[in-house]
Amino acid sequence: MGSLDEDRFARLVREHSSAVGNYLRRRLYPLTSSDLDDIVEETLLVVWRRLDSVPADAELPWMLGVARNVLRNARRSQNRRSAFESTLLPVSPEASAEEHVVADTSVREALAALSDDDREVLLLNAWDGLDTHALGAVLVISTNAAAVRLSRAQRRFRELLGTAEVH
Amino acid sequence: MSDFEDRLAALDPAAGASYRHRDLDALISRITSQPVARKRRRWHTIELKLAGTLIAGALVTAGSLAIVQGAGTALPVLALKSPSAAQTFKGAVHSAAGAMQVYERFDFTAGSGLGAAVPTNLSYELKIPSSPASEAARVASIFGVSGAPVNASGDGLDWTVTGSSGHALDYASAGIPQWTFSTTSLTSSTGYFPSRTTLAADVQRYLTRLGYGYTLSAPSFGTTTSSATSSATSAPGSTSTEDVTYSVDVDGSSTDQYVSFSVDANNNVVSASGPAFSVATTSNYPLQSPAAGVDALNVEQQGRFPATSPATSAGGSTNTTPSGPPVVNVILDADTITLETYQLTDGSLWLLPVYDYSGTSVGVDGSLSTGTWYELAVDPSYVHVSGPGSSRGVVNY
Repeated sequence: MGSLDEDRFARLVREHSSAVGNYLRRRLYPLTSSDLDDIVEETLLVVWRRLDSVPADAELPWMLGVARNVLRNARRSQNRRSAFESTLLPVSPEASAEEHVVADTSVREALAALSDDDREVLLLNAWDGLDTHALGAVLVISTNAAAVRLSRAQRRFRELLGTAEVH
Repeated sequence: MSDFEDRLAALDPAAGASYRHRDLDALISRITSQPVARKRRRWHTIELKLAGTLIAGALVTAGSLAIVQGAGTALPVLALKSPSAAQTFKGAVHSAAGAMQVYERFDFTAGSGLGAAVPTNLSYELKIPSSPASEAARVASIFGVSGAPVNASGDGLDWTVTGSSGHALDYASAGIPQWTFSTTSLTSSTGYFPSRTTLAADVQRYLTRLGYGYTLSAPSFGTTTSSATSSATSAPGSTSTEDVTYSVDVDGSSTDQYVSFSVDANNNVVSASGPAFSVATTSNYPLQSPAAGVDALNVEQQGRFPATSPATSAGGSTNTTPSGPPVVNVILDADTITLETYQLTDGSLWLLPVYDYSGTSVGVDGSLSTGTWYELAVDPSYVHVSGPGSSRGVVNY
């Protein structure tokens, strides 16, 4: 049986490594499985080294905050928009060809037109499933401020989506 | 779930295939076998410096001791609220061109271009409007938005004033409050955009009426064009705005705050945003030297990875340690000071001086890249960082 630290770390990895990997894959897609495993391991290495800093009531948001910093160090700002745009999957095959084009282009353009901060908070909620409390923990802001940011990002996205549609 | 949420969810790259590491047991064993270099705590819990004399006593935060200016007077330890404060400790941001490198350790060297002398730069405690609702209404009136401020969340913090013509003023009072004016009215681009001189003058008029006292610098102009349906003709068309973003300055030093304005072709303000603060007090906290700040960056890097063989060259070459990440040498050859927002444990907000270092590194693929790294410039002996829910430890990456 390992030490208390090792046991706690192992539990954190088993409970949250999928969410951490999903978070990274969404923002670095496409990525080979091997590369993604390496980035996840780098993130978890930091978690191991800072184990005594992991808050008991916000373990996953804290770990996502570390993953966020890993991304920040790895990503080049001038490639961010093009890298992001390449991450979008095509719409459901059940949609018509016109809906394929419209939905892809509209959503892609609306997301790309958002500020980095707006896009981040929008997708942390929509893709990573974080509520406002967890958003606040990841972004290091109050829950209320997270709620305001999310509301604004959603409103701005709806406005952009509306202006990007072909009438 | 709303329509736009459904469409967002449909584009999730991880939808239908949740990530699974190829061998979690091996990963756990590999990581936990590595020695952990626990960082020595830098804060001093019982110190209060007075003109070179160390006095033992209870930890006193800036909020509980009157700040007295000038040499030879007591300066309380800044009890920073983490982890937002600690993120600036970490020298985190590195923006550079070149191939993506994920697993690397930086080894910083102070170049000859760094200032040798220890500079001075004031630290600023901020004054925030005491009534968010009143401030929201005041700023709304400046932008011509009439209506009663509404606090939808019921927490008394964030307010919205909505006018009858589709104009709105949002006021978010968490941290440094931010005001945001926006309009949903779309107009066609039928006129000529105002000149940059005119736009700058108009922004200055709004700033004067807002009355916060900060200044603006470093304008960045741009134009945004989006497809839309004209509200006047119901015909498809495009709308364009002329945009400008300024850095907010205090006493000539740039801060991490920004003011932005966008106007349409008829010079109507389409959107605007900025911070709501003024300066309450100034303090002359001693700063660490630029070279000492570089040492602090290296300490943080060594804390990320186990100490391995040192870099063999300071000339920008890269080596790989036998059991760790590639070590990338970075010569930091320039530094400037900017003011960054920090919150103390007593809730007060400050703008503190931070070193912005720039330097050049050579990646493992031989590509050259420039980068920027940050380190709090205030002498560490005047800083205490606390973690959330814990008396020690911060998110430090």
